[in-house]
Amino acid sequence: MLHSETDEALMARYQKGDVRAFEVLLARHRKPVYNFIYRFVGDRAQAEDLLQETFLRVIKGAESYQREAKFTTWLYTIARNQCVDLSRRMKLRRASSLDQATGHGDDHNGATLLDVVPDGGAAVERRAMDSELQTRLKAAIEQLSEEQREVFLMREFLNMQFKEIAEVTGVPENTVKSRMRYALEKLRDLLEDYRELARAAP
Amino acid sequence: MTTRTDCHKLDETLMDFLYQELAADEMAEVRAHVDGCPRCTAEIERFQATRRTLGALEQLEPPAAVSAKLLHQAAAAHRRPLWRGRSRLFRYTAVAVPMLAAAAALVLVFHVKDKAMAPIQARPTSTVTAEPAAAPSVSSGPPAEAPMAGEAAPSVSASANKEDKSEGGFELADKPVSGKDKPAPRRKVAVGGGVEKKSGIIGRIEPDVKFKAPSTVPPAELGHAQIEQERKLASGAAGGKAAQPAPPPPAPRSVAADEEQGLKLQVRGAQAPQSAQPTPAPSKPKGGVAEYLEGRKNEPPSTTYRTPEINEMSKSMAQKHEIAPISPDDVFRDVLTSARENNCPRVVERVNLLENLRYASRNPQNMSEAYRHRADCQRNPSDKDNDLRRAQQLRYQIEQRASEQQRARQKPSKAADAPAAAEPAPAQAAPPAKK
Repeated sequence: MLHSETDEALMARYQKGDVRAFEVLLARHRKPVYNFIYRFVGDRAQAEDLLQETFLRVIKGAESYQREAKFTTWLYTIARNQCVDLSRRMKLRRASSLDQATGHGDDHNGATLLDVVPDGGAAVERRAMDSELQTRLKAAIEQLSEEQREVFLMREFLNMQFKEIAEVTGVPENTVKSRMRYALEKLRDLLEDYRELARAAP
Repeated sequence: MTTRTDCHKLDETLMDFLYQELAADEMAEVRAHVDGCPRCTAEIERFQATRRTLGALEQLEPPAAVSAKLLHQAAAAHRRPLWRGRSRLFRYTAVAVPMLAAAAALVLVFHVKDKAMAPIQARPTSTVTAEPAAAPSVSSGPPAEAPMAGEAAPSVSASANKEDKSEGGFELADKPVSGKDKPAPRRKVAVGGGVEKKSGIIGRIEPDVKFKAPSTVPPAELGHAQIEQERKLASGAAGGKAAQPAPPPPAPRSVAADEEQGLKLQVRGAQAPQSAQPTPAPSKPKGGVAEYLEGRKNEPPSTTYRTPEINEMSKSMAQKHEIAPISPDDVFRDVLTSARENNCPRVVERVNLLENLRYASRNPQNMSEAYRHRADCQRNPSDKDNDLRRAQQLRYQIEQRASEQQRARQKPSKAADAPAAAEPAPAQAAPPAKK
């Protein structure tokens, strides 16, 4: 049964031409990777593009993938590098065109976030509150420096160990941990007043 | 028990403790300290509270269309190794088979000579006899290489019955399989031989592949149930907004079907919105692989993303690996098949893909039909109406164009109406292209 196989075994299958194995890998990882990218770049359209590009590179790189390498580390490295690359290019572009409006044109936040959330029958006020919370959380994460943000997202959303994060980002493990700590402290300050609210809204 | 040094130690290992990355004994040690130390308890609680708050952050579902595209690409790309293996085989058989054939012919010739006008097929001239004998032996060569033969056969026969394909594909083989011109061979495969290893982003990633054995924890895998759910989402997400009155059995996954269809590698949309032609004009029959590639060299990369920066990033990739565009005609055929099978989720997904590929500008007639099929699958009446309206609009466009052409023909003074072919698609067909 493909679903019970490890990522590495699935990747080996895909290397041999079993596309269903890739399908399982995609189903398994697309959501966390997408959310990681989205929270990193903060724009949904860009996140979709980068998600596609990331897995496209998995496809292209499949031949050179070695089974001893942990698949998620490889995958997350690709995803993270994409984000960093994009961010660098965006900065360059922003710097070169002064007349460009700030922010991303088709960034969706606030109310539009609700569009994709299946309506679980929650009360309207509750949704409004959720929406406000989501906006605040998103904004808070975007206020982190890029170094802090990537570490935070990898640890909290991709559930990567510090050692693994160090491998992917190429900095010492201790640096990763202190970035994580700074990130949490900053988020704590930014979200001070929301803490109790979140507890009420699981 | 609670000393300053203990508090200091917590400070050092706070993150490890928070995320339970300490060894069991260390964990217990710190825990023992924290339990007896109000300061540290409060500190940890503050961090935990922040984490809980952030835990409320919603997880978005990636669009199903992205997955669909990726599956096509995966299906198209995975053929490369097979092709390569096959072509090596061909190289070998290209020499071996004629030799064997010649040998067989010689044997036959001598045999015939020996038997001196055997009654069955006595042909006096040895050379003539040899040739018919050689031909069958060539065709009976492949079965000897059982594993490959199955793979090889479909492509050849497929190329025969897909001649109608308007847009030229190419067949990838290291050397031409046969000397004669094949009519529009159908399979397109991502070419470019091996994956370029030392380039661009991948190049940067490559060193990381050295990661030793899968470390400590098994990859963060989703639970079985969740995977099932993921699968359902993946296969049904497109159909979610368009479920059907009586849900037909969701066809077993589509990838196998895709493979049989020989679906092409495709990337988001045709290159440039509206203005550019979706594919190089298929005016003249394609010569060979080399010419085809030559023709593609100056094209913009087939991956088009909404963000210019991402376009740039993918450009280098696309150039490294020739990415052949998907054939929308194949996708359209798939729509028809899926509609026949009442596989509504797939119909919806395929038609969405056609929209992304701007099929309307290439073949409005087919696109109109595709919209009608999707309309049949729409549960939401307004979605259904929209699709029917789109289908109608396209039909109207076709009629209008036909009448224009007729008028143009009646007034031959007017210039030829060649460029009328690529009309812009109806508004909805174009994904929100951000420039």
